[in-house]
Amino acid sequence: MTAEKKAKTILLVDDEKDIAELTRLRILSLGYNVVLAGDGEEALVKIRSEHPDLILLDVKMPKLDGYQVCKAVKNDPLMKDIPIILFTASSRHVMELSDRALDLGAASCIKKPFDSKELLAQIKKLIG
Amino acid sequence: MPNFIKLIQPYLLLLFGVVVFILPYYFLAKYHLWEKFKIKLTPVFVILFLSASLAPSILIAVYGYNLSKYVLVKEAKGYLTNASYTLSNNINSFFNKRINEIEYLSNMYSVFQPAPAGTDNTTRDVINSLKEFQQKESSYKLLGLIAPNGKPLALTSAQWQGQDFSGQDYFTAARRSDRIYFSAPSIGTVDKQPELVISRAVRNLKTKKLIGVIVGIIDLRKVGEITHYTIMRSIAENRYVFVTILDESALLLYDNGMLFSRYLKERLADNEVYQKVKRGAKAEKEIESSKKRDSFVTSGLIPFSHEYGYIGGVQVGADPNLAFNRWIILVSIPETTVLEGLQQVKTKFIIVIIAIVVFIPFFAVSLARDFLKPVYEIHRGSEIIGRGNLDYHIQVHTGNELQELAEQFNLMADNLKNSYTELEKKVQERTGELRERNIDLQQVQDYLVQKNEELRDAYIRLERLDIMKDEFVSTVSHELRTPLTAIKEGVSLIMDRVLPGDLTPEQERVLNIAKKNIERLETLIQDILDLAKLESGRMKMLKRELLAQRLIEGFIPTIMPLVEHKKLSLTYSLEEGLPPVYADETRLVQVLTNLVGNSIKFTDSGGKIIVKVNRVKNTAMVEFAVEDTGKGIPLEALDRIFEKFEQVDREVKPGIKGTGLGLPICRQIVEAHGGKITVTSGLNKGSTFSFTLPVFEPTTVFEDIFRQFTDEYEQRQEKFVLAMILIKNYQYILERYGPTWVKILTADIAQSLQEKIQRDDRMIKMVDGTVIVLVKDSGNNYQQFAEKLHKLIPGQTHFYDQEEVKVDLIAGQAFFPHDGTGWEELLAQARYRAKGGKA
Repeated sequence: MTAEKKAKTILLVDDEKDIAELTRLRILSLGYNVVLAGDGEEALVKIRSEHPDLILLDVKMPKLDGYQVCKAVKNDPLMKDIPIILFTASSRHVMELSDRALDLGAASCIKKPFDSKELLAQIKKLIG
Repeated sequence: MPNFIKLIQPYLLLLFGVVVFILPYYFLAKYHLWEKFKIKLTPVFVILFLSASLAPSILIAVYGYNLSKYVLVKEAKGYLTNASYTLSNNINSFFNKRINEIEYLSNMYSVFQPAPAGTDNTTRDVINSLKEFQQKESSYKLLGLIAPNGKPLALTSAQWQGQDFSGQDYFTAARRSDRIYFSAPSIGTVDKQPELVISRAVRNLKTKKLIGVIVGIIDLRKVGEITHYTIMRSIAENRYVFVTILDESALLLYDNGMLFSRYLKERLADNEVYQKVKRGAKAEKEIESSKKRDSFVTSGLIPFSHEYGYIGGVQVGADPNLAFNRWIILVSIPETTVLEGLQQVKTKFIIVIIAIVVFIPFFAVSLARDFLKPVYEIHRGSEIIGRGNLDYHIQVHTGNELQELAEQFNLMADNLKNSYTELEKKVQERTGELRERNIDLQQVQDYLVQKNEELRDAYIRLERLDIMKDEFVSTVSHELRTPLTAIKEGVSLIMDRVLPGDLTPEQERVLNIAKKNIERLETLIQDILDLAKLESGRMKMLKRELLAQRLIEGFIPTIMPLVEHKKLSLTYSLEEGLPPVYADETRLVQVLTNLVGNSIKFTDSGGKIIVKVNRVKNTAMVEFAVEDTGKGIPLEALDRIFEKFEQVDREVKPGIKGTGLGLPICRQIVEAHGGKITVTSGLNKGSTFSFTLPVFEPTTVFEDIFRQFTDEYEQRQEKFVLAMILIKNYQYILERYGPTWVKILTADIAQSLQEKIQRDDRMIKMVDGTVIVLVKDSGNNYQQFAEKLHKLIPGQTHFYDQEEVKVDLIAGQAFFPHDGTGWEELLAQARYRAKGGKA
């Protein structure tokens, strides 16, 4: 992060509070602002209020799941340009899950549990 | 319109109807336009068709109505004319008689020398003779002889006694001439009844001296009676006819029973009919009813014309022979009366037409159903018979070809049934023989069946348990991993100095130990998960063509750091001309990593590890072997080594403990590829782990992929598309450049396809210049693929040495499961389509 640039904001949506907190610390080290949301509904509220530059979205969540949030964001003309990284659960259908995420307009897909280096690389790639 | 055309008009209409309504249908039928225009005999169409067909009848009916109306009106005019002439004659003859009488009286008195006035004898004689006339025809109010001075000489009625006639026109006019005088009709002064006076001078035959004037006052009501009688009794034949009589000055004399007195004041000089008749008084005149009706009404002449309508029709002038004033007789009849019968017919006709329009289509449709019923019956029957019910008999009794057809069907069914019965009988006989022999076998069989069932139940229970175990393992692994990730990330955050603050070397060392153990735990969980998946067959093997050399050369450097760390030597040897294997690269590397990893663990520094790859003689397998000079495995442990959690009794240095799952995983992976893993070892003799993998062979590989594909898609009830890409000028290229180059070319084409289509799609290239692609058929995917394929197909350029070779491709698809479920079927279908429908 350079001094003259305003820090970019990343919304991290994950219902696992511990992981979210640790991930937040990791991302903070790169100089981004991090806003946390614990479920899909909160995520949609925070997206509207915080206007994040990037959304990190866990697929498995109470209330609205990651796909639904992703769909809602991509269908909203005001929000649809915000890139989204989806965390998909590790399962035998991983390929199909990530295909579905990409079909919904997610910028990329990371298998969970993820390596923090991979996540940071993706974040840098998307918002510099 | 000329009468002739009027007469033939219905026929012209009929002709028109034929041309307009029937000819199109004729042509439709003749040139089979029904099929061409796809006209279907829907009820709506039938209704429209029949309604259209009714149109000419309706037109003809309307014309017929008009014609009948014309004829009726004409006829009415005819009898009205007759009526007016008859009436005119009767009235004329009535007055002629009166004229003759007056003439007679005048002549009679001219030869008599009447006695001087006042002489009783004379007067009495005259009076008697006059009375005689009056009695003969009771049409006189008065007959009288008036003296030249206007004093009555003799009168038949006492009412006029003493009246002075000298002031009366009829007296003065008659006195002046020798001709009969007619007065205009007027209301009598004495009795207030309508009258008309005929008078004539009476002169001495010889001396021409005026003796007096004969005066006959005629009661005009008599004319009314005549009119009434004539019209009602003789002419109109009970029809209600209106008669109006006007005198020459258009004074209304008679109007259907309104006898004179009422209207004598009224003049109808404006009446158009009156004027017409008067102008050509001798001729019959016609007027059109409806147009003239209003003029009658405005004249106030015929107040009821409003209600009845007026045929107008015939207007007849008075007989020209009538010597006195010409009267005009107007006879008319209400149109409704004339057309009464016709109107009834019209109403009935309309009802009939409506009935036809409404009911005929229903009738036609049900008729059509009736016609089609035997056809349906045959259709239904053939279906029933086709389903195997050979007892069914089609019931059609139309007596035509349909019945024949149905009977043929029935005959066929009967024959079939007979054959079946015979066959069944034979089968039963044979079965009976067999049964006898089988009776003792039966008991054995029953026993076996029972055991079999028990076994199957046990197997099912086991399988269920197995599934539960798998589910459990995979859930537990996942649940373990999440907190582990948190711990790992926490430690990493500290060790990566993401959080502010320095670490003491002690702290860092502890964290390192923690991290190492976290990683071990992670590996363990990953292994458990992998093994669970492998054992349950849920691990997807992404098999493809792999070259051992490329694989080994890629693998060695990744493990080299560990080898070097332990000061070991790692070498590899590959047989010349190894065929490619068919395997999942990631899994294969996993196996190699495990095996080489084990060797590293159990070989002391300075030891050797060799990786060898050889073709297994006489089979389509390639063997991979990892040899080491390590501690080896005790003989008694060898058969347990691939079991889970069998952590061997080998002495291992602390810190390099494995999970005990590596070898079971290896075995599962190798077996999932259709290979075998073996070990040869002995304590302190080193170990050799070998596993085999199948050689990549297009057809078998294709079968394998296809089986996977169909299994998967059938399970998910999805569809896929098999696309076949062929080299169009294959034969030429094969002959010109040889099979080796064709192989390379095919690979190139497959490669270019691979680049263009999505990563998930499977592909296999075939040696004979054919590339097969399997694509998920979820609409979009396939369409995108088809577009890409389309772009790829026309004229590719490849190189044979330096030579440019144009290669044309053709492509065809087959759809699973629509075109078939076997790969041979699908291939044949795709090939068929690729070649443009030629086998």
